[in-house]
Amino acid sequence: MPTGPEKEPQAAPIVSMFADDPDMQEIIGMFVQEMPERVEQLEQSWRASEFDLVKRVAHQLKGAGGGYGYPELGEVAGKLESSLNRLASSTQATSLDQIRAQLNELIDMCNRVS
Amino acid sequence: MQAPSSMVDKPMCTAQQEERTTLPVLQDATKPAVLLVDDSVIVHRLLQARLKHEHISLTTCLSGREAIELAKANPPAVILLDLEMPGVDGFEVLRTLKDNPATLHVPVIVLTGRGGSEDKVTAFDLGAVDYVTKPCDLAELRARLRAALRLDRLLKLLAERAEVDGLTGLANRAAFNKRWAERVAEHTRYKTPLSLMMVDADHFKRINDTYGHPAGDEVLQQIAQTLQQESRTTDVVCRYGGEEFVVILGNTGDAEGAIVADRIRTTIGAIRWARHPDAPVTVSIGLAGTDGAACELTPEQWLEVADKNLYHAKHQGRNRVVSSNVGAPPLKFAKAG
Repeated sequence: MPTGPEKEPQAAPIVSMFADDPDMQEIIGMFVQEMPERVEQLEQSWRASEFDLVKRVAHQLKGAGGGYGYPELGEVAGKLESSLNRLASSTQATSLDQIRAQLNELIDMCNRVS
Repeated sequence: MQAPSSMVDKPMCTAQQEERTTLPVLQDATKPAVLLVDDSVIVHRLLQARLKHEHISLTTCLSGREAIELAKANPPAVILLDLEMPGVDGFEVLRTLKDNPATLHVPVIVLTGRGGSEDKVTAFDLGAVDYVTKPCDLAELRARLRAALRLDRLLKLLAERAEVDGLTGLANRAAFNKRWAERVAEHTRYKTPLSLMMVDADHFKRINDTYGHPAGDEVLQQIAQTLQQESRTTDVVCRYGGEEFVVILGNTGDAEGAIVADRIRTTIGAIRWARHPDAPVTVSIGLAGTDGAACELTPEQWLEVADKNLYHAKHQGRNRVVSSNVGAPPLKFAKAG
C-alpha cells in the first residue's frame, strides 16, 4: 500500500477496521492513496478562506469515514463540520483558532490513515 | 497521473472525471436497477463495494440534475438519494421525481448526513419512503434497500392488476386486449355494430424534443381526457402504448364511427396548449368497424385493419381519419374526414 509523502515518521498509523475484508481492500487502498490530495485541498481551501469547501470535505469524510472503517476520522470530521456550520449561521463567535485546531486534528488523522 | 486536488468532487466535476474515479459497474437487465445519487465519489465506491452481493444493478451519478435525467429516461426500481449536493439538491430531486408520472412511484430512500427531525419530515412529506443517516450500519441499509425493492415490486404488481395506465388513468394495453376480445365475441354472437379506432398524436416526438417531457405528458393526458369526453359510457378508451390510443365504440358502425373520429380529431386540433400555445397538436385516426354485418376477423386481425388505416392516415399527410368497413363482403378502404 503506498504511503503518503507527508506522513510523520513518529505518527501511529490508523488502520481500517475492514482492512481484512476482501470486498473493501481495493476501495480502502484508493481512499488512502487519495488522502494527500484531500489534505492539500483542506489546506488550500482554508488558506483561501473558502470555508464551504473545507466543510464539504469534512462532510464527505464524516459520511464515509465510518464506512471505510475509520469511525474516529468520521467523528473528527463531523465535529469540524458542525463548527463550520456554526461559523456560518451565528454571529456568536466560534473562534477561527478553535476551528483551525479541529482542522489540524482532522489533517493529522488523514495523514495517519493507512 | 492523478489530477490535482480534484478528489473532493467540486461542482465542476465532469462525467469524464466520474469515469476515472468510479469503479466500473456491470449493468444487468435481469436485476432491479438501483440509482445512487451522491456528490461524493467515495460514497459511490463504498456502496458499490458494500452492495456488491445484493441482487441489484447499481448505477451512480454525482448530481441532482443528472439523477432526474437518468430516472426519467429509465425509471429505476429504487433511488438512494443524498440531500446535500451543490446545484439541484436532494429535496429538489424528490420534488421533481414526484411531479413526473413516470417517476412518481419509484421508491426513494434518502441517505444523508443530516439527522435533524425537520429534514426527515420534509423528506417524507415530499414522498421519500425511507430515511437513513450516514454513517449508517450496512446491514441495516441492505435491509432497508430490500424493503424498498419489495415495495417497488408490489406497486408494479398492483398497477398490472389494476390494468390502469399510470400517466393517463385510462385502461392499459392488457385491459384493452381483454375487453376487445370480449366485445368481438359479443359481436360475433349477436351481430351488433362495433367499431375500433386507433388514435395517434402526430409528430409527438417533436413535442417532447422541443418543449420537454412534461409538455409531452400533458399532451397525452389531454388527449386521453378528450377521448373520454367524446365517447359514451359503453365505449372503452385505452392507452395502447406511447402516443397511441385505442377506443372501442360499442353499438357503432364504421360510418357513424368515422363521424365520432372526426369530431375527436377537430377537438384535439383546436386545443390551445399552455406550454406551447403556438404549436397545436393534431391526431391521425384509423378506424375499422361494421354496422352489423358479421365480421369474420379475429380480434387481432380487426385491430390490424384499424392500425393499417392509421398508417394510411399518417401516410396521406396526417391530421385525418381513414376508416373502413370490416363487415362481409371483404375489406375496402374509404376515406372520411
